[in-house]
Amino acid sequence: MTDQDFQSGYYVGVDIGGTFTDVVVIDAAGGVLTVKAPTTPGRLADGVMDGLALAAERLGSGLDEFLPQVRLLGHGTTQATNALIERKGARVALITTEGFADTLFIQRLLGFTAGVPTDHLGWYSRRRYPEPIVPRAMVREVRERVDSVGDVVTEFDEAGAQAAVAELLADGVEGIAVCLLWSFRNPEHERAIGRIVESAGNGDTFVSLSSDVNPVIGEYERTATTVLNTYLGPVIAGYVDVLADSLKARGFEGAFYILNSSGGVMSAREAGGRSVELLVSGPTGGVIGSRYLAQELGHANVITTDMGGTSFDVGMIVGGTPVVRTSSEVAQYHVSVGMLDIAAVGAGGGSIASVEGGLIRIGPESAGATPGPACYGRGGTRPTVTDADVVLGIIDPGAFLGGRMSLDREAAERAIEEHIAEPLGLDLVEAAAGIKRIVDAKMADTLREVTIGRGHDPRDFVLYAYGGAGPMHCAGYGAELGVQRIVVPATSMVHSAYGALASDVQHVAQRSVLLGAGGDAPWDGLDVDALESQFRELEARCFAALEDSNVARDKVELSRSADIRYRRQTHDLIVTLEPGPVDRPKLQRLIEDFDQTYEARYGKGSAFREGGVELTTLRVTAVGRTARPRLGESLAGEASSNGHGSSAERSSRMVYDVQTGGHLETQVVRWEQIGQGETLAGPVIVEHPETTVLVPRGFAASTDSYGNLFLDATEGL
Amino acid sequence: MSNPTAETAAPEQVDPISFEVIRHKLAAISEEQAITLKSASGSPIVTEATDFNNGLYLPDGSIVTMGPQVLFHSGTMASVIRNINEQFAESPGIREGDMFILNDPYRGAVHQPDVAIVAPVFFDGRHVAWAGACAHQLDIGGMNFSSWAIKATEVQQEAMLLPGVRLVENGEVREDIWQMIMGMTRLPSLVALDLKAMIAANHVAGERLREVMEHYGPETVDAVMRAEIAASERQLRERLSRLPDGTFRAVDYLEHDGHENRLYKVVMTLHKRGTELTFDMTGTSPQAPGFINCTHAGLVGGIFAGLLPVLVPDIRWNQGILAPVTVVAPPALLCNAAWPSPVSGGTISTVFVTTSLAVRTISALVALDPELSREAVGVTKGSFQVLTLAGLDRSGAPFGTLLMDAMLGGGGAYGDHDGLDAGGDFDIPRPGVANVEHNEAAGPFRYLYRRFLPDTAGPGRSRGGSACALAITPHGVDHLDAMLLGHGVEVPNSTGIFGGIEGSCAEAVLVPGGHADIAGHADAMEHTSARQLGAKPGFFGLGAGDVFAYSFQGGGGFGDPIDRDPDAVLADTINGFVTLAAALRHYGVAIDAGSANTAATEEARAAIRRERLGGSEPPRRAAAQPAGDGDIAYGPYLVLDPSSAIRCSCGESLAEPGGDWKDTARTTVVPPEDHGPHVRLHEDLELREQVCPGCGTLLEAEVVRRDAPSTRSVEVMLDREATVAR
Repeated sequence: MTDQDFQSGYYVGVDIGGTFTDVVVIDAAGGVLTVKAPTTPGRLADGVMDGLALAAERLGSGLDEFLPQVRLLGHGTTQATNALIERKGARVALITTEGFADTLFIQRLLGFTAGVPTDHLGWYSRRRYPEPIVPRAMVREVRERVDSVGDVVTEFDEAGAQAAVAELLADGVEGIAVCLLWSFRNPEHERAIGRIVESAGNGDTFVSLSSDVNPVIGEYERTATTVLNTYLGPVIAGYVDVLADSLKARGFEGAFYILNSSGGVMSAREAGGRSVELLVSGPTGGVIGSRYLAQELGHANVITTDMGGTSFDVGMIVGGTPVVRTSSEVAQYHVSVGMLDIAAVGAGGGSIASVEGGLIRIGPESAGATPGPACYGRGGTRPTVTDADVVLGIIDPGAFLGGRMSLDREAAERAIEEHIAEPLGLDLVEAAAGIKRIVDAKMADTLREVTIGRGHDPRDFVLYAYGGAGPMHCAGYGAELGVQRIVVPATSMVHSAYGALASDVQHVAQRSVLLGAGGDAPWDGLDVDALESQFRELEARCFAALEDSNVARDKVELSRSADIRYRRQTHDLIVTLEPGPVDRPKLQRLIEDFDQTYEARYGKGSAFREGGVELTTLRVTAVGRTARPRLGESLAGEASSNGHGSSAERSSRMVYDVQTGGHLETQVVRWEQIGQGETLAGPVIVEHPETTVLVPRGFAASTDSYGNLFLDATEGL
Repeated sequence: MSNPTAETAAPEQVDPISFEVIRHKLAAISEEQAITLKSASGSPIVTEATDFNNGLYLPDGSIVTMGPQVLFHSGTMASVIRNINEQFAESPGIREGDMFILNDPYRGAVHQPDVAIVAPVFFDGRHVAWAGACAHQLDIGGMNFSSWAIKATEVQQEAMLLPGVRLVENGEVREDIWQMIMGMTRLPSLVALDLKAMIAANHVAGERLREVMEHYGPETVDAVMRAEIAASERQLRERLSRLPDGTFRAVDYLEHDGHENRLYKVVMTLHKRGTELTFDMTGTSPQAPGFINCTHAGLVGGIFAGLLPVLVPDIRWNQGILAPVTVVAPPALLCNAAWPSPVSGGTISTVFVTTSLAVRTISALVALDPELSREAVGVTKGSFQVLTLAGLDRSGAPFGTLLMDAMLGGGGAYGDHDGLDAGGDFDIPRPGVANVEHNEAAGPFRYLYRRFLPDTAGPGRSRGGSACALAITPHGVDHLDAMLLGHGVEVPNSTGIFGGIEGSCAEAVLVPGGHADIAGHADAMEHTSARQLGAKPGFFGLGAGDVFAYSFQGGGGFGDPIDRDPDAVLADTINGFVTLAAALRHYGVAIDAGSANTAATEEARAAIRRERLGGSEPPRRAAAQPAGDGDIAYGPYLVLDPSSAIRCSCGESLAEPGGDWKDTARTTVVPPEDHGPHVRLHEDLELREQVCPGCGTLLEAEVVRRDAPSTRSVEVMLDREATVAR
C-alpha cells in the first residue's frame, strides 16, 4: 500500500454487544473516533445503521455523505453464538453412515460436562445434555462405509440416499448436514449426497458436507461442526444480506468483512457458508484489536483481558501472533475449527458476592444489566463487584460513565452490609475490600492458568485491559501475576469493534493425516514429496478462498504448520514449518522445535522421542493483508464532544487501598488531561467518559500520543 | 508489592478473605496437575476416560484437594500416603526431591493397574505436604495382557506389586527401578509416558505449592489447608444433623468369579446416627477364589464414589468428608479380601457394585429431606464390561488396547428429570469416550455400529438413561485376541428407586462370520448364529469376518412407570428410545398415529393396577394426600408420620411405628420380560414387585436371591429417644 491510498476515506469497525453496538472509525490520518448506539434486538442491522449515522454526525456529515467514503467495514458479531444459545437456527437434518445416527447425541459423553466449572462437576443432579440442534428423528442413515485409509468397504446406496433426501425435503427442512465416517479420507459418498440434494431440492436447501466444512479426524466433532454450520448458515446469510443491502442503499461501496473466531476476516458473501467459524467472533475482536495496537507499540507478548459485566475473557499474543486452539466447546457442543484460545471465567462487574459456609464467594451468578448492581438503583439488592468498587471509592457515584448515570452509594453499602459484612462480622469497608481481593484473585487464577499453566512467564508479557470493569481491576489482577506494564488502550471501551477493522483476511485449510516418523533419523518414515504435494493442495484451497474475498494471489502470505505428538499420545501441539518446499533438514528442525515446545510446556525431561513422533494434521494458514492506516492522534473534537474541557481542575478523594488496608488520599485526573511525558505516581484515579482506571500505590500512570494509558509497576513484588 | 497477610496473619486465624484466595490457589494447583497429567499421558484411559486422580495432601496423607476424576481413588490416595509414612519413613526415609511409586492393593491402591506416584513437598527443609497422582495403566504385568488376571488364585500372579518404592531420588528418576518396572510390563513405552506424566504433574504441584507458601507464608497456607478440611467436615455434619436417624439397606449381586458362574452378594447397611455415618458390610459373601474381590482400600473408594455426588455435591471434597464416616467390614469378605486373595478385577466387580449400593443407601437417606431429596437417584449403569483387543496391526507391529466404550450405559433417573442417555460411569465426574475414527486409526478393527439400543432405559415416572450397543470386526488382519470381563449380564444391577424399574442388563455376543449380514444395519444380538458370551468369557479369538457385539446396562428409573407423563413416553417413542410395545407394556401408554390416546392410556394403566392387585379393582385412588404437620415424604409415594408409622400417599396404612412397610405391601414375583426385553436373571435370582394394596402403585422393584427374604430397605426413627429405648 502506498500512502496515497489513505489520503481520503474512513475505516470502520462494528461490534454488536448485548447492550450496545460499538462503532470505531479511523480516518486516513489514523485519527480514531468511537461511538456507541443501543443494540436493537431482532433488527440488529438497524442498530448498526444508527451507530454509523451517529459517527457520521460526530464527523459533521450525514450518513449518505459518510458511507460512500468508507473504504472498509469490518464487523464482529455474536449473531452465530446467540442463534445457537437461543436455539434460533434453521430447521436442519443430518445424514450419516448407517449404524452411527447417534453420534451427535452421545457426544462422546462430553455433552453434559461441557461448560461446567470444575467445582461443579460433582453435582450430578444438575447434569444435562444440550437441547439437540437436530431432533433425533431428523437423522437419516445411509448404507455406505469407508475405512481408515479411504477404501470403500460398503458400496454407497444411491437409492437409499435419494429416498432419505426426498423424505427430508418433503418434511420441509431448511438445511441438510452430511457427515459420513472417514469422509475426509474419501469424500465421494458425501459429494454424491450433495448432488442428490442439489438435484432434488428447489435450490433453497442449505447443504454442508463435512469433507468441505471440516475435513479432520474425529466424527463427533466433525458432525457437530457440520451440523452447526448448517444450523447457523441461513441465519448468518440472512443477517449479512440485510446489512449489506442497507449499507449499499446508503451509498457504501467499500469492502465488507466479517470477523471470524480465529481472528481473521472473511468476505460477507462467504460468511453464510462458513458460519461455524463465527462462533466466538465477539471476544475475538478485542484480541485482534490488541494485536494491532501491540504492533504499533512494539509489544510482542501480550495478555489481553476483557472484564465486562458478567465474564472475564483472557487471550494471549505470543511473539506477535494470537494463540489459536484447534478445537473448542460452544454451547455444550464441541467443534474442531480453529479459534483464538480465549479462556473465560464468570467474573465481572455484575458478579454477585455471597457468603457460603462462612466464606465469601463471587459469581458465577451475575446481576446482568437488569437489575444490575445494587448501586444502579434498578431493584438489585444483592452486592456485586461494582458495588464494592463504589464503596471503596474507586468509582465516583456522581461521575459514572462521565456523569451520564448516577449511582446509589447507599444501596451499594446496604447490600454489602447486609449480605457480606454482617454475616462475617466485618466492617463495611473490609467486606468491600474482601470482594475486590477475591475477584482479583479469581481473575489472576485464570491468568495463571493460561500463562504459567502453559509454560509462559507472565513477567515477559504486557497486560492489556479493556471492557467496562477491566481498567478498574487490572492493577489488582496484574500485580498478583507480577506483570510490570499494563496498557489501557484508548479504544478500550470499544475494543472489539476496533479489532473488527484491524483484521486481515484469513483462511485455514487443514487435513488429518497420521504419519509416523522416527528411527535413526527423526524424519525416517516421512515421504518428503508426498508431504510437499499435500501442502500444495492445501495452499491451492487457500488461494481459491482468498480470491473469493477479493485478495489477489500476490498479496497472500502463507504459512505451513503441523500438529505433532509423541507416538501413542492423544494430545498434540501445533508446530510451524519453515517456509519453502519441504526437505529433510526442515523436517528435522520441525521435530526439534516440537521437542523444545513440548519440554517448555511440560518440563525438562518430559520429552519422549524414543517411541518416535506422529504428524496428525497438516495445515496451511493464508493471510491477505487488508489496507488500513496507521494509528494517529485522536480525531479532532472527540474529547470536547464528550463535554470535557481542558480547563477542569484536578481533584482528589479518599480511596481504600486493599493492599495496605487503609484509605489513601487519591488524586483524580481526567484521562485526556494527562500530558504527554507526564508521570503520575499512584494512587491515582483516571476518569474517562466511559470508564474509570485505578492506578494503585506501586504503579505509575502515563499516556502516549495515541491516547493509550500505561500503568507501570514501580515496586518490586 | 508486599502482602500484609504474610506478616500479620496468625496461623490459626486466617481471615475469610485470605482463606478464599489461598484455597482457590490450591484448587487451581490440582487442576493444573490434572491438565499436565492428561496432556503428557499417552493413554486414552487417562486422556478420554479420565481414569486417574491427583491432589494435594497434608503430611499425614489427609486429602486437601482432589481432582474431579475417578472417585474410586478419593479415599485411597490418603491410604497410599499413610502406608508409605508408616513403612518407609525410617528406611529409606522421606526426603526432599523423592517420589514413591505404589500399586499394591493391600497397601492402599484400588487394584494393581491403578499406579500411584506421590511426592513429599518440602518448604525451607520442612515436609509440609504431599502431591500425588494415580492413573490406570493398560498393562502392569502379571499373567495376562492388561493385568486383569481372570484365572488368578492369588495376588502374586496378577501383576507387579510396588509397595511404595522410591522411584525418584533427589529429583532424578532412579534408573535401576525404572528399568525394573519397564521390564515387567508388556507396554513399556505407554507405561513410561504415563509415569513421566505423573512425575511431571507432581513436579508442577510441588512448585506451585511452594510459590503459594513463599507468598503467604507456610503457616498461613497450612492453616488454610487444615481449615478447609475442617470446613467440609463441619458442613457435612450440619447436613447430617438435619436428617432423621435411620438405617438403610441394599443388596447387589455379582455373577461369575473368573473360575465359575457362582452368584455373590454384597450387602450394605448404612446407619445414620446424629452426625455419623456407618457403612456396615456384614452379610456380604465370603471372599471369592477369583479376582473379583477388593481390599479394604477398594471398599472405601467404592463407598465414597457413591456418596460424594449424592450427599455432598455442593461441599468441597477433601478429608473432612471422610471424617464422619466409619466403614465396618469383617475380614475375608468379598469386599474386604484377606491377603493373598486375587483382586485385580475388583474395580469393575466388587468396588463397582459397592458404589451402586452407596448410591442406593445414601439416596434413601437424602430422600428424607425436602431439599436434598432432589439428589436421590436410581442406579447408573451398574456394571462395566472390560474389553481388550490385542494382536498385530496391519503393518505387523504389536497392538493392544482397552476399549473404554463400555462407559456408554444409561444414567440413573432423578425425581424431577430422566437419567442421562449415555451417562458414563458414576465414579467418573468428567467422562469421555474416543471417536470411532480414532479407535479405528489406532487398531486393526472396524465398528459396524455404535448407537442407542431401544428399551434399555429403566422405566419409571422419570425413566433411566438409555444404553448404547456396538459391534466390531477385525479389519485388515485375519485375527485379533479379545478378552471380555464383566458382570451384570444376568443381574440387573441398575436398580430403580421408589418404584422405578431396573435398566437393561449388559450383553455380549460373538457372531462367527457375521460381518456381511450385520454391516451396520442389523443388530448383531438378533443374528441367528449369535453366541452368548456371558459375563466373563475371558479370552477368545476374533477371525476375519467375525463380529463381536456388546451392549451395556441402562439407568434405573425413578417412581412408578405408569405415572409417567404420556407425552414424555410419546417423545421417547418418536426419538427411538422406547418401542411402541414397551410404551404400552411398561408405561401403559397407548400410542396411535403419532399421539398418545388418552382414553386407551387410562384404561391400560387401570388394567396394570388391577393386574398388580391380582385382578381386583384398587380400593383407593392413587392420589397424593397432602402431608400433615410433622409428616415426612419419603419418595413420591411413602409418607412417614411423626410416630414413624408409614402410609402410602393414597392413604393406605403400610406400617406401624418400627414396622416394615413391605410386610403389608402386596409382593409378587414377576418374570424378567415384565421389566424389559433386555432384563435377564441368573438362575438363583428373582424379581419382586412390592405394590401398595390400596392404590396398586408400584412402591419398589427388587432384585433378590430366590431363597432370601425381601430386604428391609428403610428403618427411620423420627423419635430418637424411642429408638434408643427399643
